[in-house]
Amino acid sequence: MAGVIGTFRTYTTFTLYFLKTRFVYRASFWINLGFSFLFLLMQVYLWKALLGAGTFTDTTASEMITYVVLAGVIRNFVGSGAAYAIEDRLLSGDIVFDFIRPLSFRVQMLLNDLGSAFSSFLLQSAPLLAGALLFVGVNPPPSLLHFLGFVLLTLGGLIISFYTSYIIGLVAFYTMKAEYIDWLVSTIRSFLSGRYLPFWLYPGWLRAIAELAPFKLMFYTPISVYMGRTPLSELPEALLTMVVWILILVTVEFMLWKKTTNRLVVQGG
Amino acid sequence: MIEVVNLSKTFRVLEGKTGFVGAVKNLFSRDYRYVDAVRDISFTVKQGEMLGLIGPNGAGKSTTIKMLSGILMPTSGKALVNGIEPYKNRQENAMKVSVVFGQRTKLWWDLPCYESFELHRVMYRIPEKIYKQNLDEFMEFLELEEFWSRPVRQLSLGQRMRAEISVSLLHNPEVIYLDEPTIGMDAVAKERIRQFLINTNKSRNVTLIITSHDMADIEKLCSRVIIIDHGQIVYEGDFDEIRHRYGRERTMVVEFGEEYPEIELPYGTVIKDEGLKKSIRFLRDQGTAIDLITTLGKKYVIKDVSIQEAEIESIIREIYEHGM
Repeated sequence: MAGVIGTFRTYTTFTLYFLKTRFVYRASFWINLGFSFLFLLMQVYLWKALLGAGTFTDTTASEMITYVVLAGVIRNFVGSGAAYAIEDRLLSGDIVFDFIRPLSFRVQMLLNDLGSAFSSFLLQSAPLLAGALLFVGVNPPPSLLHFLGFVLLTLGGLIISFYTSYIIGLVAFYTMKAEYIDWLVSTIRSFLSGRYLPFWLYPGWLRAIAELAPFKLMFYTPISVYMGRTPLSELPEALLTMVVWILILVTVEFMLWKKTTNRLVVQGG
Repeated sequence: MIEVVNLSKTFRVLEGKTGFVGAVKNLFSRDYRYVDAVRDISFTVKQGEMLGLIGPNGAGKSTTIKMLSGILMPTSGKALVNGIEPYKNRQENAMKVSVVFGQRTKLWWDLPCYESFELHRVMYRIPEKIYKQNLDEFMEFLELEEFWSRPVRQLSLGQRMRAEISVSLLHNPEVIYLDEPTIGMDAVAKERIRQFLINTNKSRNVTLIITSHDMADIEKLCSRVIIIDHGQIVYEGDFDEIRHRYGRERTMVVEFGEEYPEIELPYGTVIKDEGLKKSIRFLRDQGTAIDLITTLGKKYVIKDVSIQEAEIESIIREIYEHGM
């Protein structure tokens, strides 16, 4: 038990440190926050215009606004920076320190992500959500269970987002650069995750592809559960899919880890 | 304590083609070159020893340290530190050792100095009592208070290294690897670090493995040295022995009481003549300094004498150039 508490303490402290480093530069926070607000407003007005023009018949404006606001909040949790962090450490050579700490590399990278997720939540999502609730309105979930499902799936989405990014980062052990693959994958991901549009607005073929990929668990699945678009009867299936994807990604990482890190080359002496 | 057996590391290096055509070719086919950074080296280190690893740039010192500390996986051979292979048990190894890189920082760059200490305390699960005891000691010897609450990025090189070494010792490691710990520092800061390392080694019986370009570091700190060149050990032994075996040349500076345009020497040659002061170079096997000065003293009036030992740099150069 003491060991578990000790580990937990190490993890929370580590996360807190990553969080603290993000408080250092204030200007970037205000700029980010301002940008998030503007982006949200732009989407809200875009949807109001589109729906007012009668483009879509099965979606109401308040539903779309709810979707857009929730996606804006989730974004901070599922936007893993692991690939970028690994590449940065490899290029600077500071990766040496990640290999001599009494924590596994994977855990350090995850805590780094969590630190940035929580700091973004506090400094971006929370004010964004408050602003949205005050000025544009967000639909409440149909029931508490819907909300819990949403929270669980979002946490799963965080892990999936972390693992995909982390695996891309491992590729950098071969190539020194993960940037381009990361960029490619995040472009594909923004389609397949439902970051900007719910799947029910997708053409049939795109929806079919998106349903097969794990990225739907990052935006679409949690939000559609929250909104009641996915009925509670389908929640167990969604959670199972989440667990299966996490297991697949964990296995892939496990197989790649030794191969890639044996190839470590430290830059700059 | 530390046992290194036939340790080797080969890197695959991209052989880039030059020029624009080459750059385009690089996109399609790549040529790799294999570089043997470390070749089949073996040595042992005892608990509490201070070992110096020296050699020119690219000799394989840093690569050796990185394998010993568990960062790099050797291509073949193995290293045992405290009975475990560090690169296979990184986390277990991390609790018992520390690595300090003079050219990098493990401190939290943007946060005040004390935050890094606090994080280490939690990360290495250091008991409160040991933490406080260690911290008090470092505070006193290395005067950390003067920059304790300043962000690490604002520290001077010397201050940063003081913090770096302190933080590395917090969890009472049994081995510390120091890769160029005094690089870029001024003489005073260097001396301070050296003195602290000597004290630490004595009071804690901690094993130190140091690479440095500054021969004075090695000379003052290490009782034993390993010279590495082209990934191989070219010398292993006492520091004094190197001086003894290779420092055959000696220089004696004699200050005469009167002007002698020409002096008669039993052996050696005058390499510098500054009037009253003359520098005489002779080889150790030709005779002793005492004999030389006694002979000279019979014929001339001598005011003062000093003997310059051979510079260690020149000794190392001699080994590099001529081998053993």
